[in-house]
Amino acid sequence: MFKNFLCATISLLAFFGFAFSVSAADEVVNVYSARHYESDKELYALFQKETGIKVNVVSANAPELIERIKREGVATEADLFITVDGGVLYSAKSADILQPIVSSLVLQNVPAALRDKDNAWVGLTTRARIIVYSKERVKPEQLSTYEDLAAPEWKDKVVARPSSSLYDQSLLASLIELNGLEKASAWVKGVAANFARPPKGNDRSQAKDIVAGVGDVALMNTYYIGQMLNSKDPEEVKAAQNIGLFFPNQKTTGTHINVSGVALTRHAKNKDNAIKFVEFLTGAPAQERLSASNYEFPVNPIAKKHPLLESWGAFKAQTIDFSTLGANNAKAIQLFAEGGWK
Amino acid sequence: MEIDAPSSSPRKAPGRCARSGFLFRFKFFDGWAAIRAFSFLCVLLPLLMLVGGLFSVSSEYWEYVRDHLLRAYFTETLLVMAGAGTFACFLGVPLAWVLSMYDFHGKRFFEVLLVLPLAIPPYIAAYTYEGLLGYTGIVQSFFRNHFDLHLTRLTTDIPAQVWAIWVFGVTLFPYVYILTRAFLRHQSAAIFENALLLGGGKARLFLRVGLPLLWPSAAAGVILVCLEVLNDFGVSSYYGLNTFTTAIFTTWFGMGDVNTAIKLALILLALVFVVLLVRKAAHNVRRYHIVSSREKRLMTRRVDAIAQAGIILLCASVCLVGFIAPILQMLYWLRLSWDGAFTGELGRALLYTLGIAGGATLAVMIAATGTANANRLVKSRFATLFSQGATLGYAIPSAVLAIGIISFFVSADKFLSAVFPFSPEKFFSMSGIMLFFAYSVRFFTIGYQTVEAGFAKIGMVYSEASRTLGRDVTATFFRVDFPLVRYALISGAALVFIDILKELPLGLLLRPFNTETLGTMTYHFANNEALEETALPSLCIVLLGAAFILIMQIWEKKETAHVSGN
Repeated sequence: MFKNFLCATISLLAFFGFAFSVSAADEVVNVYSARHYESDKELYALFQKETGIKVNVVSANAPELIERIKREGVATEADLFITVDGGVLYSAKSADILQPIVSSLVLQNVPAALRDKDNAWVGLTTRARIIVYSKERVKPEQLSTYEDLAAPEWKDKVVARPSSSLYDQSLLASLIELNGLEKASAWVKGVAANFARPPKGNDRSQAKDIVAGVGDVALMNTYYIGQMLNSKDPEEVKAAQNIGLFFPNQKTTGTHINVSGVALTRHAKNKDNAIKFVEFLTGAPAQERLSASNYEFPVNPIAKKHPLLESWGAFKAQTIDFSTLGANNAKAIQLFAEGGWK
Repeated sequence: MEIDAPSSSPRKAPGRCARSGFLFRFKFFDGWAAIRAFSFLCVLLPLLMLVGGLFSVSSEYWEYVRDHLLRAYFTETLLVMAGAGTFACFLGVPLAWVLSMYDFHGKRFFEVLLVLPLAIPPYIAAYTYEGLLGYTGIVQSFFRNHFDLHLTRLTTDIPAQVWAIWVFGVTLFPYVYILTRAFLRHQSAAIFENALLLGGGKARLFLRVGLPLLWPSAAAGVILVCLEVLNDFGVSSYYGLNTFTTAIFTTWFGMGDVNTAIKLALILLALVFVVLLVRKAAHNVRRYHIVSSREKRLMTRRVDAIAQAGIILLCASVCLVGFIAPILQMLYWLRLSWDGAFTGELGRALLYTLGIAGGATLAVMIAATGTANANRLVKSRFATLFSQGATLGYAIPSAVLAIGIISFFVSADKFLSAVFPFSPEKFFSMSGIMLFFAYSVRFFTIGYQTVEAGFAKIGMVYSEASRTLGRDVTATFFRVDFPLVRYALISGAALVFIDILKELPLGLLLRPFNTETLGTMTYHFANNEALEETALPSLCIVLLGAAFILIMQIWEKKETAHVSGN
């Protein structure tokens, strides 16, 4: 009796096992991605159509994907690792799971400032973290720099998201690099003293709280503004139309930009396909699609920007090495915790 | 009807076995104990893979975390847990009371509806409440656009912790409600009727007689709520709370400090064990209230119109906030995102979720039944250790478990390709087996506990009679025990299935290439701050969960009738 029971169990488990195993296609490139945008999916399909190489994707949060690649070691399935944030790309590089991308086409597509100095990763898009303000209560002339948000005149007027957000961690990491640890620490304390309410919500909720009158200024990534202006929710569009955009630090260190990038894993099994895919992603047509559907800035200088981004005009960007965002990340987390920015 | 286990020692092995030599004894070791050992190993191995990390990596940030952050983690975790538990209690207990004591219009309808909030994963409830009550939400826009009424303060002045408590409370209170209601259903009417005869009012009846009787069941429900809160990642990260789970993510994945993360995980584990101890204490207290089956059951009484209106209002408002309002919000979003919402991707995610959740549920139930049966056949300290150890899978944060499982399967793949040169490369880590295994490990405890409770209800008398009549252990199980516990098994399976549907971090991390579960799809949309796009996958999760809850309720009713009938 027991034998029958055991056989039935094993065959059932085996059935589910095989039912969920993936059949391998001939030409593939395997991607671990922390970018979950619809635009990316369209590009994967387009690449397969053009080259016949199938793009297999697992998408999850970046740090966990890095940990996964580390754990998988030589056996890793990942050929490419795609993520947002220069700090994350840096930690992937320092985890020793990447190898240089060798392709003259890629080097030609992506300016040196937007890729790793050893080409362990190359940029795909950039986004700026800017100041958004209430068009009703703030004049753009009142705004100048990130540093100025810590000034007493903004008391009870700053709204922010919790410091667990990587975007703010990277901004602070850049300020640590540019101004030094002490000034950065004072900045955190100053901004925290100006909060109109305890930090909460995501980027979009900051914009909404400004329109709602909770606070006057906030930090926000540029592509969220594009997404809100083109949202399916009419109330969100209305809210986005009522906030102003300000690119800070134009006369000083430049506006903080961050990069989303792609990296080749050290133990990639489909290296040639992977490099073909990176060449495709950094080429002008793919870059234009990324900008058009996700409102990000293309890295390829010959790619056209979305008209909305074009309308914001050119701006001066921070010129620090993106790897510093990663190197200073832990310090940034500490400063936030000590400075009372929850 | 409560049936006590007979006092004869279950430790005694059947005569045939005791007489025979080594070979036969080996045979007795066979099936059931093997399933138990296998289940235990499956749960334990991935966890052991993590322990290595404890020694290998230097702990750079531990001192910093201990000095600056640990206190915040404790207070925030305990605050949200206590708040959610209390709130769930305040919702669940009165509802269970009025539904058990009184008769009113629409009672049957509410009975069903009040359990359904369990189908909504708390993280999805968090998104929908943001959608409902946020600045661009339907409530605020309505008042703003039609009456020029600005309700901004409604949402901005409420701290994130309170939102989290609210979300946990309204989605998890059914645990308290279900257990309290089940307890009251089996109470003797005599106690309450005597109390009323002696001149106590309705309120005093509740406070002086009802509460002292029902608190252990309510506490058991609250503890389930607490466990869910301790394990939550979705809600805490959405509201930016500093709980242990989010801290584990930050230190491990953000700061790259595995050692500190594991230390935090161990503290979290200790908290879970404290909660489990409290549950054990509450369970022991309950034993003093065993009721004879000859007593008259509690009868519901009809109340006057005003009281009825009050009760209906209470039930309706809880249903509204816990289930109807979130569903309406999702439907509204669905309308906004209608174009392009129905993609092949959604269909694939639905099928994949159904398949893998079904498969894992089946595996859990087989392993749980095997383990529970082995444990009741031969009670030993070892057996208790086995079942306690398996609880670990549920106690450890999913993301940590996931990393352990990856390490385990990478080694398994290496072993496989070394031993069988022609086996498919990366058989395990390229397939859904990893996720399937993770779900099974994580929810083993849920299945095990329902099966164990089912076995406890039928006791040993029937099995022992069958064994005396000459059937072996396995035949006894299939011919005698299984028909008696099958309803418990079905409701256990439904519970496991719903839990898998609601699970998020394991799916995010372990699913194979090009597959999404409904949960991961929802998460990606929410992560991109495109909440209206979450509508369809969320609705699929909630409706599937609701369907299974209904099935569970129907089978539970059958089970009650079934066991009473015996």
